[in-house]
Amino acid sequence: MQKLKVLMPDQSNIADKIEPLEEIANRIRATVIKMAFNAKETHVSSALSCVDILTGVYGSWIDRPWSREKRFILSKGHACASMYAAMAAFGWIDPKELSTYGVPGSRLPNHPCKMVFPEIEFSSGSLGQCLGVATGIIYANKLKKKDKTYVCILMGDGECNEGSVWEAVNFAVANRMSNLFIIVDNNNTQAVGRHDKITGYTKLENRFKEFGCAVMTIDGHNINEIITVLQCLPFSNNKPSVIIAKTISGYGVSFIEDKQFWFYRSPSETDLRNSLNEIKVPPLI
Amino acid sequence: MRKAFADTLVEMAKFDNRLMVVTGDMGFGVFDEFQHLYPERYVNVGIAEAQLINFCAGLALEGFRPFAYSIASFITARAYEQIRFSVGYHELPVTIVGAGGGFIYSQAGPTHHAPDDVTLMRTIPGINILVPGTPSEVKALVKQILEKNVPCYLRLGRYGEDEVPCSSPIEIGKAREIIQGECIAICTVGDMLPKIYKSYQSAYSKTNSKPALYHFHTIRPVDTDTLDFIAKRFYELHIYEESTPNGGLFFEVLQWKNITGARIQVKRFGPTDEFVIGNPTREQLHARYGMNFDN
Repeated sequence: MQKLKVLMPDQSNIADKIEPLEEIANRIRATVIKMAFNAKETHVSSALSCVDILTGVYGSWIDRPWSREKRFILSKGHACASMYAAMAAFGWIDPKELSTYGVPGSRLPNHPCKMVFPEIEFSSGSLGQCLGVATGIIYANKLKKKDKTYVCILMGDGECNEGSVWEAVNFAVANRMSNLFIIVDNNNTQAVGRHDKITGYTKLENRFKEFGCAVMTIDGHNINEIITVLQCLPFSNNKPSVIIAKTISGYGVSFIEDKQFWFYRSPSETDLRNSLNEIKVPPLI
Repeated sequence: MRKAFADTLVEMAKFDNRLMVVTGDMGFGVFDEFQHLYPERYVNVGIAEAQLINFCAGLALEGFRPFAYSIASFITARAYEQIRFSVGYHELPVTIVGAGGGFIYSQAGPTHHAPDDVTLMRTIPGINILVPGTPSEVKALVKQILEKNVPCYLRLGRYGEDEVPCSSPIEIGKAREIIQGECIAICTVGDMLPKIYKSYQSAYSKTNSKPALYHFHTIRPVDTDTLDFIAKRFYELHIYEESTPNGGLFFEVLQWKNITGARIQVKRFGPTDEFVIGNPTREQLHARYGMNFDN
């Protein structure tokens, strides 16, 4: 936090935002569980770990829906219930549409699909692909002299196992892509194991730094830190910015937090009731 | 063909500022002029095929028309998922250029062999597949690619392919009638055309009865009108191509036969379904697979 305070801009407008955004984050959390229950969908813990990050991105970083200057890509596509809920919470889509999550033919399938939802930047579901696409978007806009086009991309820590991620990071650093903002949801939970063990207890922060990125680490569930660090972007004028957000999978619901099997489990009616009792705010649907 | 390819890109880039060349650290000397004239539109991503394709997908999303260039075996196999997902699934107008498809790099060993490049690309819905046989075909097809708005795979030969005199127009999706004939329709793909044409001239210079020669530079969408025409007028259809038996024109013809019920005997002259061990020359492989034209 010491380093963060040095970069911190004027705090007066941030303080006003924290409580409302915390409330919205809780509503999104409740909504994610309800959506997963309705659709009998899984990936609940992955979706919950990034609720606060998405609240910050949609609630404070992007200034208006479908902005062409501030673009967001959810690269960890299996967590899309949170993205859809955040879109509804901030007025990008009608909250009623959340009831169609996971329904065949819906605009909101269980992995984001640009072919049925053209407004989103890109489809996801195959991990490690979107970062390379983001570099293409940034390069293209630079060619078009649109230097104020920024792309923020949310990846999972497990996703950073993929070689294609590092090919893209290499390229972004070599091309001094200071318009590229990478957020890593570092919940230390992968599909069949722990991220730290799988990666030999090395640190993501160090890896990104050694590749040449400007890196900050935050508490990924602290709305104050999230919106503060987003306001500090870009961290450098000639490097991609990376935010390592330390999170807990399933955050916000005690019996889901940090439990591997909740990667695969769809909430039952009892789970839903118990979750909403803990979160204490109603879902959007 | 590579020179024709590079020259056409330079020519088209003058009028079409969407055109970009992106390479995975391949093509030494091929794009020097393009890079000199349009430095911002030439990008070397390094030996990173996944990045090559994903980067091109991002460019295409923003309205550019990238040509992603690498060696055929690497770009089609290593980056298959990126081509399938980032380009094919999103129907993005990225042209994937596989230099040295088939056995053009036969002596470099199996890592550089790509008789399966067309086969792999054929599994991706919606992708157009072009296998030109001569420099003039490359020039014409590249220009037409820019008029279309679809993903495309372009297999490129090397250098020094002979031109074949023929007035048939060069159009994506249309086979070319090179020589009229009877009884047998020989169908070539890619640089089998100049090879077979040359052998044909020696074999049939003094005979009256001779087979027809057709050329299919487009595997997908394959020209079924010409196939229908061939089925009505010929007894046999002979295919010469450097593609695996589960792909290429042979696969398209079998599909067409199954759908239409066409009664024509099909014979294929191409590689078998095997890895080629060692480093035989291309000529040795053609002899092994019966791809040298015998009367």
